[in-house]
Amino acid sequence: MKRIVVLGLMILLLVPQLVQAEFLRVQLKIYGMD
Amino acid sequence: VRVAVKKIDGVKSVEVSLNHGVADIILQPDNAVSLDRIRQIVLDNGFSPREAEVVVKGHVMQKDSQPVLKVSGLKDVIYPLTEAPEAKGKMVELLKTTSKQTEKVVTIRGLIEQPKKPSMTPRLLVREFKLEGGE
Repeated sequence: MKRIVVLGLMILLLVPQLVQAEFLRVQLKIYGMD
Repeated sequence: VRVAVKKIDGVKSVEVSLNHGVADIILQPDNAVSLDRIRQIVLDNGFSPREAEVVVKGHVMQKDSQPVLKVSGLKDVIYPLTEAPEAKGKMVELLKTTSKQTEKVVTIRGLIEQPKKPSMTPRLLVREFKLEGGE
């Protein structure tokens, strides 16, 4: 039971770290290929 | 290509202008979408992806004495950083106070070139950046 609680707490602590970095906007140059 | 990119989980909106040759993609907060994935989908739909103007949030740090940005997601990507003249040397100043122990979270607006080889990670040219949360 204790292990599950500790694991749950670790996930809660780690998740904000994982989502702290990301692309917010991408303006990608594209060219048609013939 | 617009429909295909819009289907990616985490993409909020896509506008494609074939006249200007630009796909403008807005992403939802907390997404795990990589630039490689967008590029691959564009390629799969008959277009050739090139450089990208991006707004990206990540951890700035020193790696092998070089400034880099780490973008977490499904797979961590490390972009080497180069500072554009309009960033006025502020990134260099920030990095003086950054070490492996003190990573900083920043939002960067800049340019990522098309990698010459698929295995290469291109440089991110920093035009402007904002430090998140003060530290």
